Amino acid sequence: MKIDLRSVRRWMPAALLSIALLGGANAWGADDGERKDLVLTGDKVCTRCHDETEAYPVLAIGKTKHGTVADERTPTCTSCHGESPTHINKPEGVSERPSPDVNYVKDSKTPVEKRNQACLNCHQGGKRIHWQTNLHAARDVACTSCHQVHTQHDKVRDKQTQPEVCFACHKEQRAQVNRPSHHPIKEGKVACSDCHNPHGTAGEKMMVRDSVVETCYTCHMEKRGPFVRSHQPVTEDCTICHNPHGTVNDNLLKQRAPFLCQQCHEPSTHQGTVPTVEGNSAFAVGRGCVNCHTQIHGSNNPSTADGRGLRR
Amino acid sequence: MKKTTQIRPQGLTVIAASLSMVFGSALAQDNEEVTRLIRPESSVQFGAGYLSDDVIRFGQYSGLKDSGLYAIGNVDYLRRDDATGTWYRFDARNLGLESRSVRVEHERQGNWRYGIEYSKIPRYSQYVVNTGLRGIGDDIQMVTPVAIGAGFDKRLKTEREGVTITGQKFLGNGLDVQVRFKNETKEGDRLFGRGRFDGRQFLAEPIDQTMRQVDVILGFTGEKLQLSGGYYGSFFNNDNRSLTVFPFASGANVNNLSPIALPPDNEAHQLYLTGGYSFTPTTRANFKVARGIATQDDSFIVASAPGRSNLDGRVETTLLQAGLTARPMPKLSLLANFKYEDRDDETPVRQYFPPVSTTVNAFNEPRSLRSRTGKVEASYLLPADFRVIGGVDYEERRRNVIAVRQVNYREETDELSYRVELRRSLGETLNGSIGYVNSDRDGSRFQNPASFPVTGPVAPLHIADRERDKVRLKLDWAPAEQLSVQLLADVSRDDYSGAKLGLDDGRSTFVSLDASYSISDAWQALGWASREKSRIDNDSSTRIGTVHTPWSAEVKQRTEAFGLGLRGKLNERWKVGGDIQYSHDRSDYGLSGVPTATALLPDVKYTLRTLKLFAEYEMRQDLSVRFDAIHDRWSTNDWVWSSFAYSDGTTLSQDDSQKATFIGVSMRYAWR
Repeated sequence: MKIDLRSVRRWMPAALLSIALLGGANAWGADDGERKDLVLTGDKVCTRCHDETEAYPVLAIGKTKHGTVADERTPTCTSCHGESPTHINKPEGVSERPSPDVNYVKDSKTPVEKRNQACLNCHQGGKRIHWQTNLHAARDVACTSCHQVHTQHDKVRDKQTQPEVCFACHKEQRAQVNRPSHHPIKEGKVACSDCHNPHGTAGEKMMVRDSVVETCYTCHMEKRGPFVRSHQPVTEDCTICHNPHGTVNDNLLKQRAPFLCQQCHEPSTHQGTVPTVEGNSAFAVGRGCVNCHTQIHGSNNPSTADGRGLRR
Repeated sequence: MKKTTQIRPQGLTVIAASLSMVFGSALAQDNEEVTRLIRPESSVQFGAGYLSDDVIRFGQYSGLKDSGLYAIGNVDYLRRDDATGTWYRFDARNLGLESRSVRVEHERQGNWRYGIEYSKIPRYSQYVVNTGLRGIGDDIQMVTPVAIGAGFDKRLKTEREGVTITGQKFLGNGLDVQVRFKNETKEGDRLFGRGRFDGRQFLAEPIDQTMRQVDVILGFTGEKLQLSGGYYGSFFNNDNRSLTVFPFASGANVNNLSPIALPPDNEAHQLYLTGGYSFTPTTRANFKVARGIATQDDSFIVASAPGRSNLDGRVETTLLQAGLTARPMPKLSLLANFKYEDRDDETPVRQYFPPVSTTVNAFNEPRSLRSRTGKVEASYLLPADFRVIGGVDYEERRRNVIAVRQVNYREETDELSYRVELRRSLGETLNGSIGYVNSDRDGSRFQNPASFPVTGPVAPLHIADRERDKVRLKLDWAPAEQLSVQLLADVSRDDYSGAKLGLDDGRSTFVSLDASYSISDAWQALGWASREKSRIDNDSSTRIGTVHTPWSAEVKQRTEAFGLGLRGKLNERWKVGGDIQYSHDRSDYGLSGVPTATALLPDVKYTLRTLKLFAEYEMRQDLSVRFDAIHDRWSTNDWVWSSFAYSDGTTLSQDDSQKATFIGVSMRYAWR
């Protein structure tokens, strides 16, 4: 049969357009049985409703470690949220769809321990071994109070944005980091987690190295000594003299000299001198007492008397 | 001749479009949209910015301090091979600034990972030094007196550069091994000096230090048992062992103050094992045991009189910790924790120079500290949604006592604290809690300093008897889905006793109010304000001639701060936002009983105001242009350096009022 190509050219676009409209309609009308998982194994049950237009967008979990399905440890939706049968299939006679078994929203009715256990089922090891005995757990802080799971950028795991997460509760420190003497926290070069492990440690104040001094030595090893002449508070606790979150005095000192020094040192000779800004006094201006006692953290100089005075 | 009929291009287009519409368009569009939502996103941002003025405080840690043009550069490359779960990451931040950082990581998730990171942190001194000192930057310096203001200007700076290498390998059966090595250098100069009484000379400490840290961790993660054990080593090396100052004898007040020892090389090693075991879903124990040794045997910069060549310093640290949490009943939670730490300074006590006086003996002074801390806490759910938390904390510190003491000293201190907190959900929208802590610290008898002051001793702040009370009130109010408000108030009181001089008492209050409001899906606002007030009273005594006159200082510190933020979308293409931050610190030094008329210290104020604005315009999908504007104002009236001059004529100064505006324009491109 001879085909008239000219006529084909006339009717084919129209025919295809018609098929397209019909087919397109069918495509849009495909039932859920043909829906595929988008990110996690078995997530089609969830993603038939939950997408980025929801109040709690979920799909961005695909951008994260949790969305790496090649890793066999990767969770499913129900690993964290529970099987949630009544949430998936709303029971008849119920006006409002019940929440998932484990829910992480702000006003969640799921107990915090249960929410956290969902995370700890996989993340109890390593730096989180001490979670249960630390103050955050004891005060019902949820993992999701700090961490955002369904997003590529978890603010608290980024050095530059972490402090704003911590400051949501630690409001004194929020004001202190703006003081003139501060670690470069607001500049994004030091993060709270450089010194603290918020998941708990064996030591006080959740210090990463189990004590204040050991933690400070990670960056300030020159203060560790031991020295021929040492300054006792230095070896005990740096925060006796310094507030690491920020102060109005140079070098993060809680008080400026001589007031700080006079809290320990008796006025046997010059220690009780009244500070003044007049007359070029050595005791209140410049570096105060440290104008002379420059080796305030300790001296390894074995010679003569000035080792004791922490001058050389 | 064979005739070939060609289908015209426009016909193909229609066919392709139609086929695509049938089978692909909706799906392709859907797929593309889904890909955007689930594939890791990478982005690059490049541009330029201009700083209007020289402002050292603004750029103290970034180098953004001199007026002029700066580059803006940030890269965030993230790619995942879905088939193997392999990640490739490359981060680069602040490429146009001194505070730049770069990170490269390669990871087969659940199998292995390794990476390397570089980071630089500059720190510019806020002060300009005017001095005649020669040799800044060197370990030999010459004090060269000048008339005040007649020297040369110098701003001191230090700079940290760190390289961190990390690696981890999962070994199967819950085992993994991690290694981390960090090499950090710190170079530059910082404020230093030498002198006695009125003979103070300016020096600049030369800094050329290397700090290295090594972590090797073997971990096990099981369903009930988790363990982590490893080695941590840290090593300090100082290329400048001493500072030699000329002239040696330039007046009685500085004679013999050269050479000056700089921090010696030292190192520390720790082996540890930590773990936890979940007996039941509600009962868990954890522990840590560690043993560390820190040594310092750097050669002395001068020979000691008995001929010692180094300190042979050695501190051995033992750590034991055990904790237990349990929920024996649904309404009752229990927590107990105990920690023992013994920092035993094993440095041999030797004579290093001939005894000089009763207050300066010739022996080194090892400092040991042994502490025991314990905590028990119970939390019980009462009727009517009340929850009560009660706890007892205990801390014991025992120190070694050296023979010749400069200050009043105490071998042992004990502190016992009682805590109680009541929490209640006050309705669907309001939660509140109030807590009270009472602490009482005392200890063994004080041992007097070698030279007992006729005025009576001071009880040092960290070992003085102290009674502390603290009350904390917290309210969370969320009257609507869009609005939440938080109120926090702390009041605390310290009373010191046990000595005539030293700290007498202290008070502090802190109040903070936060609110966040979602104006619409497109607009969010937040605001916060806080006020902190603290006061300490310290008693001292001064001697004029032979007469001792008591005086006291009431040092007050007040910080008022607030912040406002707004983020929103003007339309599909424009995102805008801004933040205002204000911080004002004021320190008062109330002196009373002061014997001299000149002993008045003016209040010190610091004020910081920062306005940040941004606007981002999406030129097309994944390509946007961003405009940033920052206006920063900083001011102070601090007198700490303005009324002071070293005896060699050196002075320090800072610009009391600093303000600048930074304008930046950058392009951002994102892809997946």
